[in-house]
This record gives sequence, C-alpha cells and structure tokens, in this order.
Amino acid sequence: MVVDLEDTIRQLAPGLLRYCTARTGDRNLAQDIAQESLAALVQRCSRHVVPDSPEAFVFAVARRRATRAILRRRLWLPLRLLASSRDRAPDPEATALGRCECAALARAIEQLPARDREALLLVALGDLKISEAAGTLGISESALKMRILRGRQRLRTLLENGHEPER
Amino acid sequence: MNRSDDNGLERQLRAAFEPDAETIDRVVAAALNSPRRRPIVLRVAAVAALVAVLLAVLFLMRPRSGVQAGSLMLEYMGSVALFELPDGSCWLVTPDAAIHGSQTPLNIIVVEGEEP
Repeated sequence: MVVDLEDTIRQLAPGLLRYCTARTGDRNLAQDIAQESLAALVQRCSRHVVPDSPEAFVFAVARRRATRAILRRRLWLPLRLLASSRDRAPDPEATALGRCECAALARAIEQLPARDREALLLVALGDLKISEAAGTLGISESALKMRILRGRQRLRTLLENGHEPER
Repeated sequence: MNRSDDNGLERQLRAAFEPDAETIDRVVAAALNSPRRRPIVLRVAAVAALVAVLLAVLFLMRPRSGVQAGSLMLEYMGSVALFELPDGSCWLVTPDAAIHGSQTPLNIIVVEGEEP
C-alpha cells in the first residue's frame, strides 16, 4: 500500500487535535499528544510497516496517550494544588481548562461515561468513519452508533442543565 | 431530537475545539521531523547484549579463592606411601624410623605401630 505520508498526516492533524483537546481540556497537552501520535505513524512507515488504517492507528495511539496523560495529571494534582496554594497561584487544573475557551464544553464532555465519550469524540471531532471508529474501539458498528446517540443525548442534557438528570 | 439538533451540537463541538492553521502546521512539521527511534526489538537486543557482556566481564573478574586446584600424587611401595603435593614437595609416610635419620630431601612422617 502506497501512502503519501505528509498528505495523510496533514489530513489527520485537525481532527486529531480537536479530539485530543476535547479529551484533555488542555490545548498544549493536546498538541503534544497529537504530535507524538502522528510521529508514531511516521516512525511506523519509516520501517515500511504501514498500518492497514493509518487513521485507526493514530487515534488508537492518541487514545492511549491521552488516557495516560489524564491519569498522570490526576495523580499529580494534590501536589500541584499544594504548591499553588503556597504560591497563591491559580489551580493548575483550572488554568488548563480556563486557557481553553471551550471550558464548559470540556467539563461537560468529561462528565460523559467513558464509552459514550470516546465514540462521540472519535466520530464527531476526529472525523473517523463509523467502521474505523468501531475498529479503534473494538466494538461493532451498531454498538458504536448506539453509543454516539447516547453520548449526544447526554451531552445535550449536560449543556442545557449543567448536570445529568437523576436516573 | 432530530438530525438538525445533532448537526448543531457537532458544529458547536467542532467550532469550540478547532485548532488554528499555525498549530496544525507546527504539529505536522514536528511529527514529520521527529527523530527516528530504533525499533523496540533492536533496542531490547542491544540492551541484552550489553548485559551479557557485563555479566561475562564480572564472571572473569570475580575474586578467586586462595586454594589452587591441583592434583595430589600418591604412590605405595610396600608399607611406605609417597605423597607428591601440587607445589612439588614430597612427603613420605612410613613406619620405619630408620629412614627418618637418613639424609634425604624428603619430608618424612613416621607412623609408629604395627605394620599393616
């Protein structure tokens, strides 16, 4: 399979950046993750092992890295809060979200169940096709569509009410 | 819920998280110019080889015990036993006290008692 690497990366970058920003709520962190994920594709291709679906490969790497970055941020949060209270500096978590003009959206997305959130973000922001997103998440296309539908409904409710209604 | 609501929500999401052109260019350029890393298999093999060399060096440089391995020669001549030690010295074990008095370069141990 012949892939024009630069074209592929240029096509993937906007969707990947949107996905990573929505996933992390931090534009700087999102750029790092997107860059590392695209670099992973470049390195893979440089070894002449082109993945069947570069889109699915890059988003799978980005998902893993974003999850790890969020976990790391949560682990370090108590120490950062301690340091910022001593320095009287603003909460770094709030700063990360505050830098993003879409803070309310990012907070609402964060409140979505992980499975619905991933499905919605991969398709709506990452521009993955249904089949590619389903492959990335390892689920059937019908299950993916169901998760996207549920994610949209929940997100709309969260944006309207600020929280999900009690079930 | 209808299709236009869905489209409106997705448009809102895309607009909120849309990266600017400069960011896209920077990320693309950085990804394309990222330093080539060696494949993980090669890195693991290199580390394993290094560890093997280090272990070999440590094995060769290990402190030896003070006792040198060697062979002890033992010869019997009737009731007389001759030991030759690895360092070259000889010991004669004999019940015959007369040999003890003789001028001989051997170290002699006289065993008193009945001959076997």
